[in-house]
Amino acid sequence: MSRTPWFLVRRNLGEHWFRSLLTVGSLAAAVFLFCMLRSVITSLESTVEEASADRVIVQSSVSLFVSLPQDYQAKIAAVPGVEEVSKFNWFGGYFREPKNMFAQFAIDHVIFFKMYDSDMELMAGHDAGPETAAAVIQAFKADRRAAIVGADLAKEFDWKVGDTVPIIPTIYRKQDGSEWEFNIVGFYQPKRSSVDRRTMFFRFDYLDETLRPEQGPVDVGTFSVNTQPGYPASQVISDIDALFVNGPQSTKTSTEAAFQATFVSMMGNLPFFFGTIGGAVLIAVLFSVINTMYIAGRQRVHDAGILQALGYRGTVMVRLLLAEALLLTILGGGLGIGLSVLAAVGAKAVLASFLPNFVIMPDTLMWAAVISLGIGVLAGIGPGWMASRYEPTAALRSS
Amino acid sequence: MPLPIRYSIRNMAVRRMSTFLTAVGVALTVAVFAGVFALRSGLQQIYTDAGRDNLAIYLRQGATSEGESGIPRESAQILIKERPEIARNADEVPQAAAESYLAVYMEKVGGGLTNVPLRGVQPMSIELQGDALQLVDGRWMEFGTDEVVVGESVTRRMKNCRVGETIQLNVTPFKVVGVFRHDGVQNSEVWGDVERMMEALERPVYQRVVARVADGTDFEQVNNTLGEDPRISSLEVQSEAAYLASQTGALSLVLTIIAAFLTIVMGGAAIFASINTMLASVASRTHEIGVLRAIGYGPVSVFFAFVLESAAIGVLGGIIGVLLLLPIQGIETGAMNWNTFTDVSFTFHLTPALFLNSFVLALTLGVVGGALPALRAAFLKPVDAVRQRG
Repeated sequence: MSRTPWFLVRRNLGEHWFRSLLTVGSLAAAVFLFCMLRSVITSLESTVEEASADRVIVQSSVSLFVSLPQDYQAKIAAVPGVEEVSKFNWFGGYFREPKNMFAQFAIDHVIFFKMYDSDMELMAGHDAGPETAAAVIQAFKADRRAAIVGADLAKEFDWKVGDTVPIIPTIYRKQDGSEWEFNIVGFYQPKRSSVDRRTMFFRFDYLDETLRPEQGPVDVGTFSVNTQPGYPASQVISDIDALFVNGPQSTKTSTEAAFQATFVSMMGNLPFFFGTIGGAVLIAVLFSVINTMYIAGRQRVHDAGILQALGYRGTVMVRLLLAEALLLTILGGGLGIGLSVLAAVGAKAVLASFLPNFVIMPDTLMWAAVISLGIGVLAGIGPGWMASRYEPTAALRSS
Repeated sequence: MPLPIRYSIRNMAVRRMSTFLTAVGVALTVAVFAGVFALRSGLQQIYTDAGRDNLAIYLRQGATSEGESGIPRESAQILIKERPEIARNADEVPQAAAESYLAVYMEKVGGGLTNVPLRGVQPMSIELQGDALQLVDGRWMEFGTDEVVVGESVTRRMKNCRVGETIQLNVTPFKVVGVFRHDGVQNSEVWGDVERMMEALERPVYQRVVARVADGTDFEQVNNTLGEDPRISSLEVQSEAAYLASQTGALSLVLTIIAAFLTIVMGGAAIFASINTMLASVASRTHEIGVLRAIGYGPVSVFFAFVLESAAIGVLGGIIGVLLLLPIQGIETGAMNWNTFTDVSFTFHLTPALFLNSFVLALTLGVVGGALPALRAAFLKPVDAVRQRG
């Protein structure tokens, strides 16, 4: 007899349905954790990988919290290889309550949309397309208090085009203590993951002209610089920094990717911890699944003897147990992958202020599937071999 | 009549492989649980535990951390000279210092940039810290010169921060002349003369005033009197203890969420594994259980014998888990404190309470995992069970 009695797989899993269920459950838990933890790391890294190659960021060499004079803009614009320059100011306010934190940036409305054309798609409500984009840009230029917000952010706070949104400042306080008001003229959807999904962009001149009479000109957080395609970024970087080496504020210019990478580097060892924990979980579950299959194998020594006595080859039990293990791990792995895809939606909301671009990459799911199958193979072959190494007579004699 | 404990323990040894694999599952759960909480208690050690109630921190009203605060020169001078709550030393000098604060870029020894707090201090700043602050290498900076001293963890973890090296701040190089140790979070800071810092960085305002106050000072009441003086009414005061406690909210919360999430998911997987092991243990001893019942052991005795076996596997896992974790005690690590947006270094800190909790967790995983199979064993019919071939 050469055909493997596959129906025994189903029978056996069914007979020990409780054990099968628990095994599937623990594997699902492990795959779920693996997907979530790895996604934290890949989400952090994705902002770096997808950054624009033709963009450099000029900031203070001293600190993220030190601003640069406004007149730097004209000097940077005159550097060879520079195409466009926009100011970028972190506003650091919140909507109603401090827990409603998201990024607000003041930008140069004249040039910003041209510079970030390939980074984001403009929308108004559900409408998109070139005409909508042109209308949004037009509205942004016409209203000094205009703002665009990430479509995700708009959904979160139920903002519509035409709404006026009050933002309470933490850095740019007005003398009378009043809130800042912004009129939403459109939404944006990032085209690459280096662009934050939960940001409000508004006009720098609104910020500057409001505060200038009280506090003088507003200094600039960073300058975002688009370089001419093909022009070496390293040359532009060293030319810009050379301009300001003697102050008043020395600068540190870096590619957009390097700029984003500093934020990842600031996370310290957290990504390392996630990696370690993910590894520990997988090993724990590998042990647990092997354990279960080992138990199953030991209980089947007698069965193996019967099958061999019936004329099946000695390796039949290896095939059967391998099939059982694979079936369990496919179910468990699939469940874990499904759960993590579902949970990603919730995790995105929870992690929004720390990790706004939380997303599960396809290769994470692929790895999860590969690891599940790997565990299945390991957990099937060992116990299967153990159950079939007895002589049929010895096996039959065992309980 | 209870079954002897020896019975349960011996059974563990019979199924060595399963026992070991189940224990490893529990061990890894306990290790991850205790590891994340050890980080959190390390964080608490430098923030919550190191905060003092007799130090007052004055910030601009509404500022949630030093980085957001700003105190004009004149306000700071009035505050230090005139406030009645500020203690005076033997020479009748107010025990208060105006300080600047800025998170500056530094390169980590292993590569990558991070933000390190740079504190401009006055001579009184050092006196105010008392025993919490010690010089461990080199000397204190000379006030009025471009010299800095760095915290112990900065000198270990950041480039160019050993004695004799220089740190570039904007266009001015500052020489590192000494290393200090601080019991609290200031161990991760760089200190220099506040006047030199403000000039080099072109930042004309202080960020905080720190002052010695009497024990048991009512800060609420001091805040009310601050508000009555229009020259300094834009400031508010709190104890150092309260201030530091407010600075770890985000990171501490993240660690707690991570620990809870991981413990629940991993703990669930570990319980599944121990149920499986115990079920197999019960199944293969059906005959034996029948014999035990036949010679007079009651269902309760059998139940407890199996729960005990599972609990013992849990405890074994707990011991392995803690042993796995012991080497990390005292290891220094750095993480971003989201409240201040600076790098803070702290150590894994295993406390007796944490050990106790780990064992309770391990025991719980074992008992919960064993309860169901033990019930099955207890309710086997003696007559049927004995008939099973053993």
